[in-house]
Amino acid sequence: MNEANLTLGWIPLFPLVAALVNLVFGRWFMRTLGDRLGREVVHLIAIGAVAFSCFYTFSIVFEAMIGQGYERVVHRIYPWIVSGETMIGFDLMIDHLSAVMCMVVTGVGLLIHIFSVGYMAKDGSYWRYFAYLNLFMAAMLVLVMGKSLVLTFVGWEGVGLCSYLLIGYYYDESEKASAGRKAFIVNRIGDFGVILGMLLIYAVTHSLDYDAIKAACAAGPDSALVTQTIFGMSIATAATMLLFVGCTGKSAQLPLYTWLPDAMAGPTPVSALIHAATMVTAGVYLIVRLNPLFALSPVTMSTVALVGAITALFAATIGITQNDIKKVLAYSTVSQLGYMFLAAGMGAWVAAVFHLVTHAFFKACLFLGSGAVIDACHHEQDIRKMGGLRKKMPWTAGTFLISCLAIAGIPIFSGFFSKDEILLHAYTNASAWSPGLNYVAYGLGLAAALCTAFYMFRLYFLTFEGNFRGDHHTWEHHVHEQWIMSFPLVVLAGLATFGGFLGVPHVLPGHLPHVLDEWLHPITQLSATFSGEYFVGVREGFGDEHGHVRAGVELGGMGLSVGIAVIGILFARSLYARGPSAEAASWAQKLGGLYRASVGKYFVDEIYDRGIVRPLRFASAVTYQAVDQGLVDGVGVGGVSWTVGALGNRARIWHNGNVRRYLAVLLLGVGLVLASVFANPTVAVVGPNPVHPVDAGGLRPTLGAQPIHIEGPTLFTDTPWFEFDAGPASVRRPGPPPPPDDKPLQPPPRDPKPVVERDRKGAP
Amino acid sequence: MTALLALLAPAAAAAPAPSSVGATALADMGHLAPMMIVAVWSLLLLAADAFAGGGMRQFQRRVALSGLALAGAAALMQFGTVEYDAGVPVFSGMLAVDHFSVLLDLGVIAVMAGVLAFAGDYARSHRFEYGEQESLVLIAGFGMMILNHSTDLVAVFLGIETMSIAIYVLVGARWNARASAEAAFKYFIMGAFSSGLLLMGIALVYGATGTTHLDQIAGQVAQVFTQWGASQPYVDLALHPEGAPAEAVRHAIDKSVMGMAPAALFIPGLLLLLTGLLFKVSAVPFHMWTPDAYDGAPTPTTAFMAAGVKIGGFAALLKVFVGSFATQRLATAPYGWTSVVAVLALATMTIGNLAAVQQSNVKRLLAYSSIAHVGYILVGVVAAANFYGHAFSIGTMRAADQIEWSRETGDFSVAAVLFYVLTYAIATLGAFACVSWYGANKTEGTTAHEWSGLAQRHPGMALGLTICLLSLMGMPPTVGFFGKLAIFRAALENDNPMMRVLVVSALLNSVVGAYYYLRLVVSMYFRPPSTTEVPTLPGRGARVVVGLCAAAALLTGILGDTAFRRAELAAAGFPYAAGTERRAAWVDKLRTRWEDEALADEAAAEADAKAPANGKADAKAPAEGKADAKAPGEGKADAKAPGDAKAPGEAKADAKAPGDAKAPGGDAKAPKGDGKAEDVKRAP
Repeated sequence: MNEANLTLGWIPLFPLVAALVNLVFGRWFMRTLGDRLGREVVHLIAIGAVAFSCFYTFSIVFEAMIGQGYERVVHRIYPWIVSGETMIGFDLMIDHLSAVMCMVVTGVGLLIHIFSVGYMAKDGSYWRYFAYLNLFMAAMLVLVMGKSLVLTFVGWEGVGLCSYLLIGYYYDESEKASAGRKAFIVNRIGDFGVILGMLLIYAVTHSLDYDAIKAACAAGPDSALVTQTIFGMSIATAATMLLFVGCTGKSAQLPLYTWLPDAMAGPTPVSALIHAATMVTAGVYLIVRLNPLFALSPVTMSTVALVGAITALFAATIGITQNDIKKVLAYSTVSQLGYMFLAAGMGAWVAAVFHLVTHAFFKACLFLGSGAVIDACHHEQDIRKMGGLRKKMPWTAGTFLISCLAIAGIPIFSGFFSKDEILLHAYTNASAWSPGLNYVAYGLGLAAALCTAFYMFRLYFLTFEGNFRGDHHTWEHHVHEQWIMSFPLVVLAGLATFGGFLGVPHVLPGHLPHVLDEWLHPITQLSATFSGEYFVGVREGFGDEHGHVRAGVELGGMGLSVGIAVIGILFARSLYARGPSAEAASWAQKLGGLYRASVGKYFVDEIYDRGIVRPLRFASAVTYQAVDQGLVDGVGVGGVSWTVGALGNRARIWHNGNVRRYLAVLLLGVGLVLASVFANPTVAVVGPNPVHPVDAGGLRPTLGAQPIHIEGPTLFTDTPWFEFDAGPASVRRPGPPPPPDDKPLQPPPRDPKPVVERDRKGAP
Repeated sequence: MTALLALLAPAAAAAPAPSSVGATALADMGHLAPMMIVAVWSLLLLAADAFAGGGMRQFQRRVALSGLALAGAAALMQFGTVEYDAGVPVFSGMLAVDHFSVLLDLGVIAVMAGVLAFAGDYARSHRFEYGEQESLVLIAGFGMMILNHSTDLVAVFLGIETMSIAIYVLVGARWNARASAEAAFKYFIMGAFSSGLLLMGIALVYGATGTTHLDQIAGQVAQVFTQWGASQPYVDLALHPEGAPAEAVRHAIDKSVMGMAPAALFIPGLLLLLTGLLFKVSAVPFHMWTPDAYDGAPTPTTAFMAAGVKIGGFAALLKVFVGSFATQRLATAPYGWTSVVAVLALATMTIGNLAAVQQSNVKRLLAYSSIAHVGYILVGVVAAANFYGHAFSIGTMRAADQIEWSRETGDFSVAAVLFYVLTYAIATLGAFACVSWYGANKTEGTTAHEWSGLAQRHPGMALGLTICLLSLMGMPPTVGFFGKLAIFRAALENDNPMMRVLVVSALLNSVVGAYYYLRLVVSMYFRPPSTTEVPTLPGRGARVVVGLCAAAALLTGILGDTAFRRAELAAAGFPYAAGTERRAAWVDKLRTRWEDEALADEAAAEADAKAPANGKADAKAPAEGKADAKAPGEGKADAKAPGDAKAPGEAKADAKAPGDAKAPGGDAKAPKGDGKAEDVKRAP
């Protein structure tokens, strides 16, 4: 492979160092340099680091990859875990997929850092905010640049930590702190799946390097990942299912999505960066990164697609009725992530990445716009108390509108291209459950698109059109725009508008190339070679001779989705163009139970609470009281310590200082030691000893050696049962010669001659 | 100093076969230079005290310490040299100089220096200053060194008595405290009793074998039992005389008595010897004196007893039992003396720990803890004896590699015992030094509540004591952990149920031990300071010793392998008589193994360094790619670390182990009075 070796370590290192600097010295900066200058220093460090990463990433992508044509850039920072034959390096890599992710992460991240300067301007622990944000950048970059699943998992956990820290940023409000906890715990459930999946893969491939996994998949259906099974399913299925559990946690899919709406407790730029643009897309990244592996498991693929489609509609219907500006956007994010999983599940990897990118642009723009609004409205988040803000915040309203058009899927805007590609592939791509899954997925997707258009424009109209419904004072004194917050919005709106040209469909006039498809070709080419039930691509009857979807189907699908989007927008306009109308209320009346269910978010949180959390708490309370306090601490630890204490007391009192007793004990001891003679058959037994195996001495089992009698003269010719000696004279010390057999016994010589040879070194 | 040593040791060693008795004695003294220096200095100090007034105390202490520095330097120069690989028998085979004895000498010297560093301050502060202190410590140390070198039962007895009598005096030296006199009295009564037992044992063994020389006893044991075995037909006849002529029966009775008498003398003699030596190391049930004597004695003396006497006692135990009485039937389970020792080891560690649990007196607590440690060490002794017993079993032969393995593992077990004894000495010296430091002007802070909150008042000392206690507890990375690890490993290599029971109970006992050590740590760190402030010892001796012991406990732990190699060197070929080629061959073998390992490490490091370099051969890689080239340099540096294992190569060129290069730096400091407690670590 054509790969370059550049020091990529700087990319995550810079934000990491900046984070450490701000964590350690941030408070000091703020104190010693004064509030204003201190803030300047803090955010310049933070933004500078991210800007550097961004610049470095872009220069690598454009210089090395596009300019010099390297297929990828790798960098081994050091051999990280070396154990036996396992070697896991701390290896970073930018290949075509990582390049896209890195550019999105650093680019959008940079803009959001800049926006934060305005948004957090009055925050007390400014340095902490930027430190966490930088830490997040470092972790996210490790996640997308890791060359092995292990390193990706390091980043995965790192972003989870930062997410927790930033959701609970306002930790003095217990509700927000517990939202952070919730996010962390729900993510842990998913992470557990990731670990198990990693272990399963490792068991087969003996490596977690992406190259190794890809190589293991290269054999397609014949690879060990497919042929080996566990619990009746192939390793590929089991592993990908487990990984997908992790993805549902990290990317807020059913059934683990509940943390994301609560995560809006964090500062709004955080929601934009972590909970919309970057971190939550990690699951999509992981699936696309492991696309050959996922392609080898049709079961998982169908599950992913179905979960994605259902989540897309499910979250969209909740979004319709929410009144908190950030909650609407949160459910919208869940819904859009559902689209990405739908695409990934249908094998439309490029479409998934494409939507990931465009979604990062427009959703970041929307979140930042909402942040600007919230800031302007004095931290009011209820859209029923807004309205008419366009007059005072034209830039914000304009960019918000553009992003709404993009997410709704109106042509020209980026969302149109990406979402349309997903819907198209949902309909035309082959699936193992085909064609039923195609129709279900497509239907759900279209319905979600309708809802999306409706709730986004409901949000837009209620916020920016009509008359202001908040209090007069706020309107007069607070509502305004700051350039530092508008500037990122404008850039993001521009990207949201034109980002779609990365992937223009072939049928459209002008025959622009589908840039992203070509760019990601090295990533997806392996899974495209699979056939049979593992086939990923346009199904039979829908493709033309080039493997593209037939023009008629494509154009028809486009028309349908655009039509639906327009219907949704117009419907929203008719209900909300001048604020919440009576008509809207009557619709709510008409829908009745459905409406209440949507407002109540389908009571999923309550169900989880009753069904899982409370029983778990009850069980843990019981085990705590009965098992831990009662059995372990009470009987076990308490009992042992009581026994030891009592024995110790007895032993202590025993040594009472009475010297007669001491001597008595000593004598007793001597007596016992001497009495041990009688336990010793060598002396106590008079008469021939029973021959016992020499190994009764209890040494290590012999190496199969049988006792061998020494050749030549031995000490004990007349007593063969006797094996008592200090060793043959040749081995040990020279002793007096043994008595000849026929001589009468003599007592041992009384005056030993100094027979020990002195062998002094150096002596002649 | 160096010049003097050059005169004494190597010159004497290099001398050709001695022509006269005088020359022999001179040469032998040269070999025993450290011991001789200690002896001469003790007499010198004793003589000087007769003329010196009270104002000379400080000077006397300095003289004593400088003498110890000299002795330490001499021992350092001896240790690890090829000359002593085989061991040199001296004084007609009464003593021998080998790595084993020199390493233990270093330990004893270090302990003496450590004790003397604060014993004077202690005595002055508690108003019982006396001039003989330094001299007595040196005499007791001299006795310990005799034990380290002894190869004859007479020397063993001499050493034990020399050591004990000086220590009786040291224990009772605090004339203004009743407890001190009481402790000395008790210790003396019981010590005299045990000396009697020991002497009785020696007499019986001599009666059975006709010799007191340990190596000759080992040879004679075979004879004794062969005789016994050969007399069995006569015994049969004597017991069942039916039909035999009366003359023959009388002859048979004569023969059987003659044949069985030596064995009947030998076994009780061996067991009495065992009790005598176990008394000195205070194993249960011969331990009863320990808490009282440790508690009543002036604390520096307690430190000396806990650290020094143990070294000497175990040296004797190893020499006599593991070295001489470790034949198959004599030693190994289930019939031999190791069974007795195993049971006593179990009892020792259990009773020591249990009694310590409830102690509120810190001195008594540490006394019981020292008893518990004896239990652990005895496990190693049993393991070693079992291996040698296997290796030297006669009448049958096993596969040669198995015998080889047994001997090697036996050496390892002896090394484990040495390592444990020395590291235990370091830690316990530090702990007792801290106890001595805590109290002045006739008040001592020995009750537990007086130690609460120590970390707030004296953070440095609290930290030092904590490290020493953690080492005693066996917590990594302190050296105590590696000592326990080595002992347990040795025991488990002995694949037999008894040893497994011993190891498991030792582990459980360590848990109990952790409780009372940590209780002290917790009370120092997490309890509010006691209301009455305990005065602390003036002078910096105790503080320096605590610091050095703590540092040594940490450093030897971190450099565990390097430190353990010294013990391995000392134990190589242990059961072979000093001065034989066989002994030297085992040391050579060990050195060759180290050299091979070092070479293999180096090769592996080089291979590692090369791997990343050719892994990424990309001609087009831009300049930044060079950053990778850093790897090889680091790899080399790592490979160098275990470099001091290269003993043989250098040693042959010059009779000096590489570790010695460091020694002079350490010695230079010694005369300034900061007790070279870390000598053990620095030794080779």
